[in-house]
Amino acid sequence: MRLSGKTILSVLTFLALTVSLAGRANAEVKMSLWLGGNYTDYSDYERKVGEFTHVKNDPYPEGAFHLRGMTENVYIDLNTAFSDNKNGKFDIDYKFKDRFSMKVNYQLFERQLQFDLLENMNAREMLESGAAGGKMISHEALDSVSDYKYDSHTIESEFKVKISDKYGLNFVAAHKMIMQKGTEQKISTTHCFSCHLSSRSAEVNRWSNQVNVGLEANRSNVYVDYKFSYRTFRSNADDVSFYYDAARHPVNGGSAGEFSSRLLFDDGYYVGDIYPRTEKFSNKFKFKTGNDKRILSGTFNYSKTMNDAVEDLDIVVVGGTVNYKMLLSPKMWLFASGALSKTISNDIRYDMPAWREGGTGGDLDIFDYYRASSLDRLYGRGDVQGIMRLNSDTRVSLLLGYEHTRRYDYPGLTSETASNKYYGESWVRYRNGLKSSLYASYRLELTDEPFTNYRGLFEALGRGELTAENGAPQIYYYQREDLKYQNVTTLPTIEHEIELRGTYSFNNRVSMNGSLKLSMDKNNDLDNVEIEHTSMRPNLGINYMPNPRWSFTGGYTYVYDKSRGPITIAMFDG
Amino acid sequence: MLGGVVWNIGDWNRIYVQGGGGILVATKRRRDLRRPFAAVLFFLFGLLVVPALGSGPPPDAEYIGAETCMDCHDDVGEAFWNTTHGHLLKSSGKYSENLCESCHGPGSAHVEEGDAELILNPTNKGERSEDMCLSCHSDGTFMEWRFSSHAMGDIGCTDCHEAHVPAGQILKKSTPELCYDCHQNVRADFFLPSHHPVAEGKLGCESCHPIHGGENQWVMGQDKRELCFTCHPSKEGPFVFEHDPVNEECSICHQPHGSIADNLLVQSEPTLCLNCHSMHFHASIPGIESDGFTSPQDPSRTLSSTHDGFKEAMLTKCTQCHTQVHGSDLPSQSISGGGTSLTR
Repeated sequence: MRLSGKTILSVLTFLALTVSLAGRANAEVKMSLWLGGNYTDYSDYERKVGEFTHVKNDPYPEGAFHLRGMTENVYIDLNTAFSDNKNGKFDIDYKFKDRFSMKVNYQLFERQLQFDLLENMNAREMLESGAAGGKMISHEALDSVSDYKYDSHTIESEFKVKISDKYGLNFVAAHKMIMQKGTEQKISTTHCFSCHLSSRSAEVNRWSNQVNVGLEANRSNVYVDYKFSYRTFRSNADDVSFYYDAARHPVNGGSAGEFSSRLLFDDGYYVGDIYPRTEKFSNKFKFKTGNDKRILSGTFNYSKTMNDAVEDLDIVVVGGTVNYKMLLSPKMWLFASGALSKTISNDIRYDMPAWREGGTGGDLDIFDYYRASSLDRLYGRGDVQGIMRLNSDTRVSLLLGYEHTRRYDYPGLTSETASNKYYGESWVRYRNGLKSSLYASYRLELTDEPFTNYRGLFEALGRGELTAENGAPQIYYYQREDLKYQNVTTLPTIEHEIELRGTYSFNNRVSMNGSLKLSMDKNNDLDNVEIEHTSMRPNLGINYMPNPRWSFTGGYTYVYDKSRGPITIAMFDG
Repeated sequence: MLGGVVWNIGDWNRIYVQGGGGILVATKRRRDLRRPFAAVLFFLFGLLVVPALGSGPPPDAEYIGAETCMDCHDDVGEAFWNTTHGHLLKSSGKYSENLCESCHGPGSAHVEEGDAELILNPTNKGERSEDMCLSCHSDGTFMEWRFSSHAMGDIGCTDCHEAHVPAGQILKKSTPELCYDCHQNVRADFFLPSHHPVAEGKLGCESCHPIHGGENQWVMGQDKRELCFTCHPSKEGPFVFEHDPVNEECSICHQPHGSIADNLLVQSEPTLCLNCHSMHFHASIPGIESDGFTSPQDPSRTLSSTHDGFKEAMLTKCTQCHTQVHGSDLPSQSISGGGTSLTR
């Protein structure tokens, strides 16, 4: 066990505070100390079952210290625990009257990542003779490290100072930092000449910092809150480079120049698998007003998120919500909600090199494009929900809503093709205390013109329609590329969702739960294809909890998914 | 768990040893280990409180003062004055006059008749008892309590909270066990192979859910993802090369409580991806089973096929090649594909 100097200092500080508290009249001070040990051992599947457990395979000491002190004016709660050098926490909660409060939390855990992600990626096509031949896929681990995991440190703090009793005015400042350090597997994919993947062990050194500053006021049933937030994300680990193979024919290894001219890069070292560098400013204003019969609330939000690695790439969101809640009777509630927002994300001009530069019929500079963001949109939503309590055990609900999404300047779409969604949902909940519960719901969504990505989605048959262009049969390739991406979508025009869920407790130690989720969706408004998805997932589980320290859970989930859509054979093989 | 010792320093005579053994097959809640006496105290406190259920004082009842209450309830009172509620009642001008009756209502009828029905008790569910709590807990957090899912489900303050206990012990159980009492299906989810570390005590239900209502409806339509980005900011972007569902909602691909699929995916790969991307070239090519063949780009390299063949290699995990599935600033290799394949 290793305790940092800061930790020890903090503990001693609060011990001193506690002693000073203990000497006061009417002071209540309680402390407890836990000293013990733990042992973990997994014989198999540790990365799955123990994703957040530090596997030691040896006995390890553990300890916890809890201190709580209170006088008429001061409240202190210190809670610290460690079970090994990868699992610990340190919480401080301090209040002085109702004038000042402070919370500081520290949390440490280890996350085990998966085994070698690419262990299955060695295979080759089969020739008609049955022998190995044709294209292949191969994986090469460039570092021998396979113990991928990282430590996650989270520090959160919040300070609140009361400025005015009259207006219930508080100043609030908060900070959250997440630091993750360890080792992970980075992967590169060389697409041409054979599919060749390589992986490296790389340092994890990710930092996220968020600062919130704001004011909140509460007077005469009116609550207002303004918060400014600033968040950054950085990875301080060195970038990892991979060698990308020289492009050649995927089977015979020839025609290097031809294949290389179809790629942005090959035959060299290039940085891969990097993290973004982002920062975000946001301003949010909230209000609530009302009484125990009705509440009117709303928000106004303006935020800007920037990609610091790419010039002029940001997301601006401006919008707001309004909610009205009303108690129609002691057993009936009405909710009305509306939202309107606009999201703007810059288009990016992407200048692609000429395709097959220097090749016969090549030098085609036709692949430059503007990257249009699917975030770009005007979004509006409105819905109304009624909930009725039939008796102390049973509630029913009916929800009706409308959602409108219009994407400005989105290629291939016009204002007339904005998406309109109409939805309705009804549910019934039954709960017999802690003994049993039942939930059943049905949801219907009708969408006209569901979102279609401007770059298309599907591959479709079309080779027979091709004719050599520009005098070069190689042009077939990009013609096939063009044809395979169709202006269609897999998103449905009609969707049904049914959910049944129930729990039953045999006693306070044994309970079982079951559920059934059924969804069916379809899009038959497309010109050439028809999309259909069906999904069914029954689940049955049993829980046995002999005491709060032990829990045994077993369950069975059956997943049935059926999709119907256009599937073509590999384009490389015609 | 091997065992250990709890030393309640505030009560020097209470030192005891806990023991046990075996292999850890489920995460233990260490906070519970340190609070066995708290559970006993809760139970004894419950024995005192339960018989006092009542529908409240009559309109003509009068205030009688805390000293009269202590004549019978001195066992509650002694401990209570050192709780948060106790300190607040004594120190606040608003409540210092009526003390116990600030919450329980005027007690004259209760004293005269000796009837537990004639005093307000928070364990009585109902509008009046919740009024007692909400008269103080009335800031922005609790303003929408009456419209919360819990309140509509007839869950009252005292279903989860104790009022006469020291600060820090106001929950009847520690979370998430308290929440699991009703939300058993969620408990099952958190024990699935891939899960957020709630069972391990690294997160709580309250980390994401506004227990007392309201906040869910304060999240803007386009900001549904904001909750997730608070801890996973690297997924927010903006990216040069986007993946459309990331721009919509995380729950399109992820199940936040737990999943049988890796990384909290709602389905395993490639089934999840094939819901939208209905095909991938090469995927229909039959493969071979072989112990070795030579790579064309490096004749000296020996590779072994450990799976059924090419089809299986291409139909396992899409993210083995498309590693940057949340978005990327770096282009992929193909010119005609526009660099959009999210492979680097």
